[in-house]
Amino acid sequence: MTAMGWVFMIVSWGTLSFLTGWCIVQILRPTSRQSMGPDEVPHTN
Amino acid sequence: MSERAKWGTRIGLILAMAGNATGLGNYLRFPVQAAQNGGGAFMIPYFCALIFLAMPLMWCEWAMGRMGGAQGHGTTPGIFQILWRHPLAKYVGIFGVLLPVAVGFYYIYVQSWTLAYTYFAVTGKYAGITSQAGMSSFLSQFQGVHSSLGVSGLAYAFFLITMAINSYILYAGVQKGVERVANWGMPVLIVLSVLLAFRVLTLGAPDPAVPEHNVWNGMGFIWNPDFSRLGDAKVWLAAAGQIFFTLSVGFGMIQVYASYMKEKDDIVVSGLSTTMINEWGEVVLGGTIAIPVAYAFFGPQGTVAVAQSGAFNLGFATMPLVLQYMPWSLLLGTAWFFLLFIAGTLSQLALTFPLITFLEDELKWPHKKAVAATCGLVFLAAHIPILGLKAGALDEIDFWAGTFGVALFAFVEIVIFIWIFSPEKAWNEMHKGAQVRIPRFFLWVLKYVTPLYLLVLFVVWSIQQGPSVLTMAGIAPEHFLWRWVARGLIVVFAGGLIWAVHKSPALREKKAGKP
Repeated sequence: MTAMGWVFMIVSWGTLSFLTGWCIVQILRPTSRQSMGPDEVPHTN
Repeated sequence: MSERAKWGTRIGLILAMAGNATGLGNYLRFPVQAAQNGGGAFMIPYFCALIFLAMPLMWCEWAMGRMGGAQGHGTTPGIFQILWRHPLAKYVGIFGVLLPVAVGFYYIYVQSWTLAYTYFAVTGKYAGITSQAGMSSFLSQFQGVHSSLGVSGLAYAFFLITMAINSYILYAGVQKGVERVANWGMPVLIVLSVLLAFRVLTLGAPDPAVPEHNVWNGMGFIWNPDFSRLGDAKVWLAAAGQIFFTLSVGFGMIQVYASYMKEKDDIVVSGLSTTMINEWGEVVLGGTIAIPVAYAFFGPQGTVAVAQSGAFNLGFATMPLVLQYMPWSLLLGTAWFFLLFIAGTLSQLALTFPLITFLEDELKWPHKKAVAATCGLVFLAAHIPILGLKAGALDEIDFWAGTFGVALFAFVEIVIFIWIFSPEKAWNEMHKGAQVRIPRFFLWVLKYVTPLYLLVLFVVWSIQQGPSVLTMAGIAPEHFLWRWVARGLIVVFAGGLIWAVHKSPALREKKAGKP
Protein backbone atom coordinates (compact mmCIF):
# COMPACT_ATOMS: atom_id res chain seq x y z
CA MET A 1 0.00 0.00 0.00
CA THR A 2 1.35 3.45 -0.90
CA ALA A 3 1.77 6.32 1.58
CA MET A 4 -1.27 8.07 0.09
CA GLY A 5 -3.25 4.83 0.47
CA TRP A 6 -2.37 4.79 4.16
CA VAL A 7 -3.37 8.46 4.49
CA PHE A 8 -6.77 7.87 2.90
CA MET A 9 -7.39 4.76 4.95
CA ILE A 10 -6.36 6.32 8.27
CA VAL A 11 -8.30 9.56 7.68
CA SER A 12 -11.46 7.65 6.61
CA TRP A 13 -11.28 5.12 9.42
CA GLY A 14 -10.40 7.83 11.95
CA THR A 15 -13.22 10.17 10.95
CA LEU A 16 -15.86 7.43 10.97
CA SER A 17 -14.59 5.92 14.22
CA PHE A 18 -14.60 9.34 15.90
CA LEU A 19 -18.14 10.14 14.75
CA THR A 20 -19.44 6.67 15.63
CA GLY A 21 -17.82 6.95 19.06
CA TRP A 22 -19.31 10.41 19.57
CA CYS A 23 -22.78 9.07 18.69
CA ILE A 24 -22.40 6.13 21.09
CA VAL A 25 -21.39 8.51 23.90
CA GLN A 26 -24.42 10.70 23.15
CA ILE A 27 -26.76 7.71 23.20
CA LEU A 28 -25.34 6.41 26.46
CA ARG A 29 -25.44 9.81 28.22
CA PRO A 30 -27.91 9.57 31.10
CA THR A 31 -29.80 12.68 29.91
CA SER A 32 -30.41 11.08 26.53
CA ARG A 33 -32.42 8.23 28.04
CA GLN A 34 -35.34 10.57 28.40
CA SER A 35 -36.53 12.72 25.54
CA MET A 36 -36.09 16.45 25.85
CA GLY A 37 -38.78 18.94 24.95
CA PRO A 38 -38.17 21.65 22.34
CA ASP A 39 -37.61 24.32 25.00
CA GLU A 40 -34.79 22.33 26.49
CA VAL A 41 -32.85 22.00 23.24
CA PRO A 42 -29.33 23.31 23.76
CA HIS A 43 -28.43 26.01 21.27
CA THR A 44 -24.97 25.72 19.90
CA ASN A 45 -25.14 28.40 17.27
CA MET B 1 -57.60 6.24 16.21
CA SER B 2 -56.21 2.97 17.58
CA GLU B 3 -52.90 3.12 19.48
CA ARG B 4 -49.95 2.40 17.17
CA ALA B 5 -47.14 0.13 18.28
CA LYS B 6 -43.99 1.81 19.67
CA TRP B 7 -40.33 0.87 19.92
CA GLY B 8 -39.43 -0.52 23.33
CA THR B 9 -36.06 1.24 23.72
CA ARG B 10 -34.02 3.86 21.92
CA ILE B 11 -31.12 1.47 21.43
CA GLY B 12 -33.54 -1.09 19.93
CA LEU B 13 -34.74 1.50 17.42
CA ILE B 14 -31.18 2.53 16.50
CA LEU B 15 -30.09 -1.10 16.05
CA ALA B 16 -33.18 -1.86 13.93
CA MET B 17 -32.51 1.21 11.76
CA ALA B 18 -28.82 0.29 11.49
CA GLY B 19 -29.86 -3.28 10.66
CA ASN B 20 -32.17 -1.92 7.99
CA ALA B 21 -29.19 -0.13 6.42
CA THR B 22 -26.55 -2.81 6.99
CA GLY B 23 -26.86 -5.41 4.28
CA LEU B 24 -25.04 -7.11 1.46
CA GLY B 25 -24.06 -3.65 0.18
CA ASN B 26 -21.66 -3.18 3.10
CA TYR B 27 -19.72 -6.39 2.70
CA LEU B 28 -19.92 -7.05 -1.04
CA ARG B 29 -20.89 -3.96 -3.01
CA PHE B 30 -18.75 -1.32 -1.28
CA PRO B 31 -15.30 -2.96 -1.69
CA VAL B 32 -16.06 -3.73 -5.35
CA GLN B 33 -17.20 -0.15 -6.01
CA ALA B 34 -14.17 1.34 -4.26
CA ALA B 35 -11.72 -0.90 -6.07
CA GLN B 36 -13.32 -0.17 -9.47
CA ASN B 37 -13.67 3.59 -9.04
CA GLY B 38 -10.34 5.06 -8.04
CA GLY B 39 -9.51 3.33 -4.75
CA GLY B 40 -8.86 5.86 -1.97
CA ALA B 41 -9.89 8.71 -4.30
CA PHE B 42 -13.38 7.14 -4.42
CA MET B 43 -13.75 8.20 -0.79
CA ILE B 44 -13.86 11.89 -1.84
CA PRO B 45 -17.14 11.62 -3.84
CA TYR B 46 -18.29 9.00 -1.33
CA PHE B 47 -17.95 11.36 1.64
CA CYS B 48 -19.47 14.24 -0.41
CA ALA B 49 -22.52 12.07 -1.08
CA LEU B 50 -22.64 11.11 2.59
CA ILE B 51 -22.58 14.73 3.80
CA PHE B 52 -24.70 16.41 1.12
CA LEU B 53 -27.15 13.63 0.28
CA ALA B 54 -27.39 10.87 2.84
CA MET B 55 -27.24 12.75 6.14
CA PRO B 56 -29.76 15.48 5.17
CA LEU B 57 -32.08 12.87 3.63
CA MET B 58 -31.75 10.65 6.67
CA TRP B 59 -32.81 13.45 9.04
CA CYS B 60 -35.69 14.42 6.70
CA GLU B 61 -36.95 10.84 6.51
CA TRP B 62 -36.76 10.35 10.28
CA ALA B 63 -38.60 13.65 10.83
CA MET B 64 -41.28 12.83 8.24
CA GLY B 65 -41.80 9.38 9.76
CA ARG B 66 -42.09 10.58 13.35
CA MET B 67 -44.44 13.37 12.29
CA GLY B 68 -46.63 10.99 10.29
CA GLY B 69 -46.67 8.37 13.05
CA ALA B 70 -47.96 10.94 15.55
CA GLN B 71 -50.96 11.42 13.24
CA GLY B 72 -51.48 7.72 12.56
CA HIS B 73 -49.67 7.50 9.21
CA GLY B 74 -46.45 5.52 8.95
CA THR B 75 -46.06 5.41 5.17
CA THR B 76 -45.58 8.14 2.61
CA PRO B 77 -49.13 8.21 1.12
CA GLY B 78 -50.42 9.47 4.49
CA ILE B 79 -47.29 11.47 5.34
CA PHE B 80 -47.26 13.35 2.02
CA GLN B 81 -50.93 14.20 2.49
CA ILE B 82 -50.06 15.84 5.83
CA LEU B 83 -47.17 17.77 4.29
CA TRP B 84 -48.82 18.76 1.02
CA ARG B 85 -52.52 19.59 0.92
CA HIS B 86 -53.06 18.46 -2.64
CA PRO B 87 -55.22 15.63 -4.02
CA LEU B 88 -52.16 14.16 -5.76
CA ALA B 89 -50.02 13.97 -2.61
CA LYS B 90 -51.27 10.59 -1.40
CA TYR B 91 -50.85 9.06 -4.87
CA VAL B 92 -47.26 10.33 -5.18
CA GLY B 93 -46.67 8.73 -1.79
CA ILE B 94 -47.30 5.21 -3.09
CA PHE B 95 -43.66 5.09 -4.21
CA GLY B 96 -42.63 4.86 -0.56
CA VAL B 97 -44.45 1.52 -0.38
CA LEU B 98 -43.90 0.35 -3.96
CA LEU B 99 -40.10 0.72 -4.09
CA PRO B 100 -39.06 -1.13 -0.91
CA VAL B 101 -41.58 -3.94 -1.32
CA ALA B 102 -40.67 -4.42 -5.01
CA VAL B 103 -37.00 -4.73 -4.01
CA GLY B 104 -38.16 -7.16 -1.29
CA PHE B 105 -39.68 -9.37 -4.03
CA TYR B 106 -36.17 -10.38 -5.13
CA TYR B 107 -34.09 -9.59 -2.04
CA ILE B 108 -35.71 -12.46 -0.16
CA TYR B 109 -34.31 -14.88 -2.73
CA VAL B 110 -30.77 -13.53 -2.24
CA GLN B 111 -31.35 -13.71 1.53
CA SER B 112 -32.26 -17.40 1.14
CA TRP B 113 -28.95 -18.08 -0.68
CA THR B 114 -27.04 -16.79 2.36
CA LEU B 115 -29.00 -19.21 4.56
CA ALA B 116 -28.32 -22.06 2.13
CA TYR B 117 -24.59 -21.27 2.03
CA THR B 118 -24.47 -21.17 5.84
CA TYR B 119 -25.78 -24.74 5.69
CA PHE B 120 -23.29 -25.66 2.95
CA ALA B 121 -20.43 -24.21 5.00
CA VAL B 122 -21.42 -26.16 8.13
CA THR B 123 -21.84 -29.43 6.21
CA GLY B 124 -18.77 -28.94 4.00
CA LYS B 125 -20.88 -29.26 0.87
CA TYR B 126 -18.60 -27.10 -1.30
CA ALA B 127 -15.39 -28.43 0.29
CA GLY B 128 -12.95 -29.71 -2.29
CA ILE B 129 -13.88 -27.21 -5.02
CA THR B 130 -10.61 -25.47 -5.76
CA SER B 131 -11.32 -23.06 -8.61
CA GLN B 132 -13.49 -19.99 -9.07
CA ALA B 133 -15.07 -21.59 -12.14
CA GLY B 134 -15.94 -24.63 -10.03
CA MET B 135 -17.46 -22.44 -7.32
CA SER B 136 -19.48 -20.42 -9.88
CA SER B 137 -20.74 -23.68 -11.35
CA PHE B 138 -21.70 -24.86 -7.82
CA LEU B 139 -23.68 -21.61 -7.39
CA SER B 140 -25.57 -21.98 -10.69
CA GLN B 141 -26.21 -25.65 -9.99
CA PHE B 142 -27.62 -24.76 -6.57
CA GLN B 143 -29.78 -22.02 -8.11
CA GLY B 144 -30.88 -24.39 -10.85
CA VAL B 145 -30.71 -21.70 -13.52
CA HIS B 146 -30.02 -24.26 -16.23
CA SER B 147 -32.88 -26.57 -15.21
CA SER B 148 -36.16 -26.59 -17.13
CA LEU B 149 -37.99 -24.71 -14.35
CA GLY B 150 -35.17 -22.26 -13.73
CA VAL B 151 -34.90 -23.14 -10.04
CA SER B 152 -33.58 -26.17 -8.15
CA GLY B 153 -35.57 -27.98 -5.46
CA LEU B 154 -32.91 -27.12 -2.88
CA ALA B 155 -32.91 -23.39 -3.71
CA TYR B 156 -36.71 -23.38 -3.56
CA ALA B 157 -36.68 -25.21 -0.21
CA PHE B 158 -34.35 -22.56 1.27
CA PHE B 159 -36.59 -19.85 -0.15
CA LEU B 160 -39.55 -21.42 1.68
CA ILE B 161 -37.60 -21.68 4.95
CA THR B 162 -36.50 -18.04 4.66
CA MET B 163 -40.07 -16.98 3.89
CA ALA B 164 -41.26 -18.80 7.03
CA ILE B 165 -38.58 -17.18 9.23
CA ASN B 166 -39.38 -13.68 7.93
CA SER B 167 -43.15 -14.20 8.29
CA TYR B 168 -42.73 -15.34 11.89
CA ILE B 169 -40.66 -12.25 12.80
CA LEU B 170 -43.03 -9.87 11.00
CA TYR B 171 -46.02 -11.52 12.64
CA ALA B 172 -44.48 -10.81 16.08
CA GLY B 173 -44.57 -7.08 15.25
CA VAL B 174 -42.32 -4.09 15.85
CA GLN B 175 -41.23 -4.61 19.43
CA LYS B 176 -41.34 -8.39 19.83
CA GLY B 177 -40.25 -9.16 16.27
CA VAL B 178 -38.04 -6.64 14.49
CA GLU B 179 -36.61 -4.98 17.62
CA ARG B 180 -35.81 -8.30 19.29
CA VAL B 181 -34.06 -9.64 16.17
CA ALA B 182 -32.10 -6.39 15.77
CA ASN B 183 -31.09 -6.41 19.44
CA TRP B 184 -29.22 -9.70 19.10
CA GLY B 185 -28.61 -9.67 15.34
CA MET B 186 -26.64 -6.42 15.12
CA PRO B 187 -24.15 -7.22 17.92
CA VAL B 188 -23.62 -10.71 16.45
CA LEU B 189 -23.13 -9.15 13.02
CA ILE B 190 -20.53 -6.70 14.34
CA VAL B 191 -18.67 -9.38 16.34
CA LEU B 192 -18.54 -11.74 13.33
CA SER B 193 -17.34 -8.90 11.07
CA VAL B 194 -14.59 -7.92 13.52
CA LEU B 195 -13.56 -11.57 13.84
CA LEU B 196 -13.32 -12.00 10.07
CA ALA B 197 -11.57 -8.65 9.55
CA PHE B 198 -9.02 -9.50 12.26
CA ARG B 199 -8.36 -12.89 10.66
CA VAL B 200 -7.86 -11.28 7.25
CA LEU B 201 -5.50 -8.59 8.58
CA THR B 202 -3.32 -11.21 10.28
CA LEU B 203 -3.18 -13.43 7.19
CA GLY B 204 0.04 -11.93 5.74
CA ALA B 205 1.10 -13.58 2.46
CA PRO B 206 -0.57 -17.02 2.17
CA ASP B 207 1.91 -18.20 -0.48
CA PRO B 208 5.51 -17.56 0.71
CA ALA B 209 6.70 -17.99 -2.89
CA VAL B 210 4.77 -14.83 -3.88
CA PRO B 211 5.27 -12.45 -0.92
CA GLU B 212 3.84 -9.44 -2.80
CA HIS B 213 0.44 -11.14 -2.82
CA ASN B 214 -0.31 -10.13 0.74
CA VAL B 215 -3.22 -8.61 2.62
CA TRP B 216 -1.68 -5.14 2.96
CA ASN B 217 -1.16 -4.86 -0.78
CA GLY B 218 -4.80 -6.01 -0.97
CA MET B 219 -5.75 -3.11 1.28
CA GLY B 220 -3.78 -0.89 -1.11
CA PHE B 221 -5.98 -2.21 -3.93
CA ILE B 222 -8.91 -0.49 -2.19
CA TRP B 223 -7.14 2.52 -0.67
CA ASN B 224 -4.34 3.65 -3.07
CA PRO B 225 -5.90 6.77 -4.63
CA ASP B 226 -6.17 7.28 -8.37
CA PHE B 227 -6.94 11.02 -8.59
CA SER B 228 -7.33 10.92 -12.37
CA ARG B 229 -10.69 9.16 -11.84
CA LEU B 230 -12.19 12.17 -10.00
CA GLY B 231 -12.89 13.91 -13.32
CA ASP B 232 -15.10 11.03 -14.41
CA ALA B 233 -18.84 11.59 -13.78
CA LYS B 234 -19.35 7.84 -13.50
CA VAL B 235 -17.23 7.73 -10.34
CA TRP B 236 -19.40 10.41 -8.69
CA LEU B 237 -22.54 8.56 -9.74
CA ALA B 238 -21.16 5.29 -8.42
CA ALA B 239 -20.38 6.93 -5.06
CA ALA B 240 -23.86 8.43 -4.77
CA GLY B 241 -25.43 5.14 -5.85
CA GLN B 242 -23.46 3.27 -3.22
CA ILE B 243 -24.53 5.73 -0.50
CA PHE B 244 -28.21 5.33 -1.48
CA PHE B 245 -27.94 1.57 -1.63
CA THR B 246 -26.13 1.16 1.66
CA LEU B 247 -28.12 3.63 3.77
CA SER B 248 -31.55 2.72 2.31
CA VAL B 249 -32.46 6.39 1.86
CA GLY B 250 -35.01 7.31 -0.79
CA PHE B 251 -37.02 4.11 -0.35
CA GLY B 252 -39.63 5.22 2.20
CA MET B 253 -38.49 2.54 4.65
CA ILE B 254 -36.92 4.88 7.21
CA GLN B 255 -40.18 6.81 7.60
CA VAL B 256 -41.94 3.57 8.50
CA TYR B 257 -39.58 2.64 11.33
CA ALA B 258 -39.46 6.28 12.51
CA SER B 259 -43.26 6.41 12.64
CA TYR B 260 -43.18 4.03 15.62
CA MET B 261 -41.21 6.59 17.69
CA LYS B 262 -42.71 8.72 20.41
CA GLU B 263 -43.52 12.27 19.41
CA LYS B 264 -40.63 13.94 21.24
CA ASP B 265 -37.99 11.27 20.78
CA ASP B 266 -34.69 12.63 19.51
CA ILE B 267 -34.01 12.10 15.84
CA VAL B 268 -30.85 14.15 15.31
CA VAL B 269 -28.47 11.92 17.26
CA SER B 270 -30.45 8.74 16.51
CA GLY B 271 -30.42 9.40 12.75
CA LEU B 272 -26.73 10.26 12.79
CA SER B 273 -25.97 7.17 14.88
CA THR B 274 -27.58 4.75 12.44
CA THR B 275 -25.73 6.45 9.59
CA MET B 276 -22.40 6.22 11.37
CA ILE B 277 -22.85 2.61 12.55
CA ASN B 278 -23.62 1.60 8.98
CA GLU B 279 -20.74 3.65 7.54
CA TRP B 280 -18.24 2.35 10.08
CA GLY B 281 -19.35 -1.21 9.31
CA GLU B 282 -19.04 -0.58 5.58
CA VAL B 283 -15.78 1.36 5.30
CA VAL B 284 -13.80 -0.12 8.20
CA LEU B 285 -15.09 -3.71 8.22
CA GLY B 286 -16.63 -4.21 4.75
CA GLY B 287 -13.50 -2.84 3.06
CA THR B 288 -11.24 -5.12 5.07
CA ILE B 289 -12.68 -8.54 4.35
CA ALA B 290 -13.51 -9.59 0.79
CA ILE B 291 -11.18 -7.68 -1.56
CA PRO B 292 -7.95 -7.84 0.52
CA VAL B 293 -8.35 -11.57 1.05
CA ALA B 294 -9.07 -12.11 -2.67
CA TYR B 295 -5.87 -10.15 -3.47
CA ALA B 296 -3.79 -12.22 -1.06
CA PHE B 297 -4.88 -15.44 -2.77
CA PHE B 298 -5.36 -14.43 -6.41
CA GLY B 299 -3.05 -11.42 -6.85
CA PRO B 300 -3.91 -8.17 -8.68
CA GLN B 301 -5.14 -9.70 -11.97
CA GLY B 302 -7.31 -12.24 -10.19
CA THR B 303 -8.79 -9.52 -7.96
CA VAL B 304 -9.59 -7.30 -10.96
CA ALA B 305 -11.42 -10.25 -12.50
CA VAL B 306 -13.27 -10.83 -9.22
CA ALA B 307 -14.22 -7.16 -8.89
CA GLN B 308 -15.45 -7.05 -12.48
CA SER B 309 -17.56 -10.17 -12.05
CA GLY B 310 -19.76 -8.29 -9.58
CA ALA B 311 -20.67 -8.24 -5.93
CA PHE B 312 -22.70 -11.46 -5.89
CA ASN B 313 -19.88 -13.47 -7.42
CA LEU B 314 -17.52 -12.03 -4.83
CA GLY B 315 -19.81 -13.19 -2.04
CA PHE B 316 -20.90 -16.59 -3.26
CA ALA B 317 -18.07 -17.78 -5.54
CA THR B 318 -14.88 -16.10 -4.37
CA MET B 319 -15.28 -15.89 -0.60
CA PRO B 320 -16.14 -19.58 0.01
CA LEU B 321 -13.16 -20.54 -2.14
CA VAL B 322 -10.78 -18.24 -0.30
CA LEU B 323 -12.06 -19.22 3.13
CA GLN B 324 -11.37 -22.86 2.30
CA TYR B 325 -7.66 -22.10 2.03
CA MET B 326 -7.59 -20.52 5.47
CA PRO B 327 -7.14 -22.24 8.83
CA TRP B 328 -10.48 -22.76 10.65
CA SER B 329 -12.14 -22.74 7.22
CA LEU B 330 -15.33 -24.38 8.50
CA LEU B 331 -15.79 -21.80 11.26
CA LEU B 332 -14.87 -18.83 9.06
CA GLY B 333 -17.08 -19.97 6.18
CA THR B 334 -20.03 -20.43 8.52
CA ALA B 335 -19.35 -17.05 10.15
CA TRP B 336 -19.18 -15.29 6.75
CA PHE B 337 -22.48 -16.65 5.44
CA PHE B 338 -24.30 -16.36 8.76
CA LEU B 339 -23.14 -12.73 8.88
CA LEU B 340 -24.61 -12.14 5.43
CA PHE B 341 -27.81 -13.94 6.48
CA ILE B 342 -28.34 -11.70 9.53
CA ALA B 343 -27.60 -8.57 7.48
CA GLY B 344 -29.98 -9.78 4.75
CA THR B 345 -32.74 -10.66 7.22
CA LEU B 346 -32.70 -7.26 8.93
CA SER B 347 -32.83 -5.55 5.54
CA GLN B 348 -35.60 -7.79 4.18
CA LEU B 349 -37.76 -7.13 7.27
CA ALA B 350 -37.39 -3.39 6.70
CA LEU B 351 -38.18 -3.79 2.99
CA THR B 352 -41.51 -5.52 3.61
CA PHE B 353 -42.62 -3.57 6.69
CA PRO B 354 -43.92 -0.54 4.70
CA LEU B 355 -46.73 -2.61 3.17
CA ILE B 356 -47.77 -4.01 6.57
CA THR B 357 -47.81 -0.51 8.05
CA PHE B 358 -49.71 0.84 5.03
CA LEU B 359 -52.41 -1.82 5.33
CA GLU B 360 -52.73 -1.25 9.08
CA ASP B 361 -52.74 2.56 8.99
CA GLU B 362 -54.61 3.32 5.79
CA LEU B 363 -56.91 0.31 5.30
CA LYS B 364 -57.32 -0.31 9.05
CA TRP B 365 -56.48 -3.98 8.70
CA PRO B 366 -55.51 -5.84 11.88
CA HIS B 367 -51.81 -6.73 12.19
CA LYS B 368 -52.31 -10.46 11.52
CA LYS B 369 -54.27 -9.84 8.35
CA ALA B 370 -51.76 -7.21 7.13
CA VAL B 371 -48.82 -9.58 7.73
CA ALA B 372 -50.61 -12.48 6.03
CA ALA B 373 -51.43 -10.35 2.98
CA THR B 374 -47.91 -8.89 2.74
CA CYS B 375 -46.18 -12.25 3.13
CA GLY B 376 -48.61 -13.82 0.65
CA LEU B 377 -47.86 -11.11 -1.90
CA VAL B 378 -44.08 -11.33 -1.39
CA PHE B 379 -44.28 -15.12 -1.70
CA LEU B 380 -46.20 -14.99 -4.99
CA ALA B 381 -44.30 -12.07 -6.52
CA ALA B 382 -40.90 -13.58 -5.62
CA HIS B 383 -41.59 -16.34 -8.15
CA ILE B 384 -40.93 -13.88 -10.98
CA PRO B 385 -37.29 -13.10 -9.99
CA ILE B 386 -36.84 -16.74 -8.95
CA LEU B 387 -38.09 -18.35 -12.17
CA GLY B 388 -36.76 -15.54 -14.36
CA LEU B 389 -33.34 -15.34 -12.69
CA LYS B 390 -31.41 -16.48 -15.76
CA ALA B 391 -33.30 -14.00 -17.94
CA GLY B 392 -32.43 -11.13 -15.60
CA ALA B 393 -35.87 -10.51 -14.03
CA LEU B 394 -34.07 -9.73 -10.76
CA ASP B 395 -31.84 -7.10 -12.43
CA GLU B 396 -34.87 -5.56 -14.11
CA ILE B 397 -36.69 -5.04 -10.79
CA ASP B 398 -33.47 -3.85 -9.19
CA PHE B 399 -32.95 -1.14 -11.81
CA TRP B 400 -36.48 0.25 -11.87
CA ALA B 401 -37.24 0.02 -8.15
CA GLY B 402 -33.79 0.04 -6.56
CA THR B 403 -31.96 2.57 -8.74
CA PHE B 404 -34.19 4.68 -10.98
CA GLY B 405 -37.16 4.81 -8.59
CA VAL B 406 -35.06 5.64 -5.54
CA ALA B 407 -33.27 8.58 -7.16
CA LEU B 408 -36.61 9.98 -8.36
CA PHE B 409 -38.41 9.43 -5.07
CA ALA B 410 -35.58 10.96 -3.00
CA PHE B 411 -35.89 14.12 -5.09
CA VAL B 412 -39.69 14.19 -4.76
CA GLU B 413 -39.68 13.69 -0.99
CA ILE B 414 -37.13 16.42 -0.33
CA VAL B 415 -39.06 18.87 -2.52
CA ILE B 416 -42.28 18.06 -0.64
CA PHE B 417 -40.72 18.21 2.83
CA ILE B 418 -38.39 21.18 2.38
CA TRP B 419 -39.99 23.34 -0.31
CA ILE B 420 -43.72 22.60 -0.12
CA PHE B 421 -43.99 22.02 3.64
CA SER B 422 -41.50 24.93 4.16
CA PRO B 423 -37.82 24.84 5.15
CA GLU B 424 -38.34 26.43 8.58
CA LYS B 425 -41.20 24.10 9.53
CA ALA B 426 -39.17 21.09 8.39
CA TRP B 427 -36.12 22.34 10.33
CA ASN B 428 -38.20 22.83 13.50
CA GLU B 429 -39.76 19.38 13.06
CA MET B 430 -36.29 17.81 12.96
CA HIS B 431 -35.36 19.57 16.20
CA LYS B 432 -38.39 18.52 18.25
CA GLY B 433 -36.91 16.70 21.26
CA ALA B 434 -33.44 16.99 19.74
CA GLN B 435 -30.53 16.13 21.98
CA VAL B 436 -28.19 18.40 20.00
CA ARG B 437 -28.82 20.88 17.19
CA ILE B 438 -27.86 20.21 13.58
CA PRO B 439 -25.39 22.91 12.37
CA ARG B 440 -27.43 25.55 10.53
CA PHE B 441 -25.24 25.03 7.47
CA PHE B 442 -27.35 21.92 6.81
CA LEU B 443 -30.51 24.00 6.35
CA TRP B 444 -28.82 25.61 3.36
CA VAL B 445 -27.70 22.17 2.18
CA LEU B 446 -31.27 20.86 2.51
CA LYS B 447 -32.75 23.79 0.61
CA TYR B 448 -30.36 23.94 -2.31
CA VAL B 449 -27.53 21.42 -2.42
CA THR B 450 -29.39 18.15 -1.79
CA PRO B 451 -32.27 18.76 -4.26
CA LEU B 452 -29.88 19.98 -6.94
CA TYR B 453 -27.47 17.09 -6.34
CA LEU B 454 -30.40 14.64 -6.61
CA LEU B 455 -31.77 16.29 -9.73
CA VAL B 456 -28.41 16.13 -11.50
CA LEU B 457 -27.99 12.53 -10.35
CA PHE B 458 -31.42 11.55 -11.60
CA VAL B 459 -31.01 13.26 -14.97
CA VAL B 460 -27.54 11.82 -15.56
CA TRP B 461 -28.67 8.35 -14.50
CA SER B 462 -31.67 8.59 -16.79
CA ILE B 463 -29.54 9.70 -19.74
CA GLN B 464 -26.72 7.22 -19.14
CA GLN B 465 -28.68 4.13 -18.21
CA GLY B 466 -32.33 4.88 -18.99
CA PRO B 467 -32.41 4.41 -22.78
CA SER B 468 -30.32 1.23 -22.81
CA VAL B 469 -32.32 -0.32 -19.98
CA LEU B 470 -35.65 0.80 -21.45
CA THR B 471 -34.90 -0.73 -24.84
CA MET B 472 -33.15 -3.76 -23.27
CA ALA B 473 -30.01 -3.07 -25.31
CA GLY B 474 -27.60 -5.99 -25.29
CA ILE B 475 -30.17 -8.39 -23.82
CA ALA B 476 -30.75 -11.70 -25.60
CA PRO B 477 -34.24 -11.70 -27.21
CA GLU B 478 -35.19 -14.95 -25.43
CA HIS B 479 -34.89 -13.07 -22.11
CA PHE B 480 -37.30 -10.27 -23.08
CA LEU B 481 -40.40 -12.09 -21.86
CA TRP B 482 -39.25 -12.50 -18.25
CA ARG B 483 -37.99 -8.94 -18.14
CA TRP B 484 -41.34 -7.65 -19.38
CA VAL B 485 -43.08 -9.80 -16.78
CA ALA B 486 -40.86 -8.17 -14.11
CA ARG B 487 -41.83 -4.71 -15.39
CA GLY B 488 -45.47 -5.78 -15.47
CA LEU B 489 -45.21 -6.88 -11.84
CA ILE B 490 -44.10 -3.39 -10.77
CA VAL B 491 -46.88 -1.75 -12.81
CA VAL B 492 -49.59 -4.08 -11.45
CA PHE B 493 -48.36 -3.56 -7.88
CA ALA B 494 -48.36 0.23 -8.41
CA GLY B 495 -51.93 -0.03 -9.76
CA GLY B 496 -53.00 -2.00 -6.70
CA LEU B 497 -51.49 0.61 -4.39
CA ILE B 498 -53.21 3.47 -6.25
CA TRP B 499 -56.52 1.65 -5.90
CA ALA B 500 -55.88 1.02 -2.17
CA VAL B 501 -55.00 4.68 -1.61
CA HIS B 502 -58.16 5.71 -3.46
CA LYS B 503 -60.28 3.40 -1.28
CA SER B 504 -58.47 4.16 1.98
CA PRO B 505 -60.89 5.36 4.66
CA ALA B 506 -58.06 6.95 6.66
CA LEU B 507 -56.82 9.00 3.73
CA ARG B 508 -60.38 10.03 2.80
CA GLU B 509 -61.08 11.08 6.39
CA LYS B 510 -57.96 13.22 6.29
CA LYS B 511 -59.12 14.94 3.13
CA ALA B 512 -62.58 15.66 4.47
CA GLY B 513 -61.40 16.85 7.84
CA LYS B 514 -58.55 19.07 6.74
CA PRO B 515 -58.25 22.39 8.49
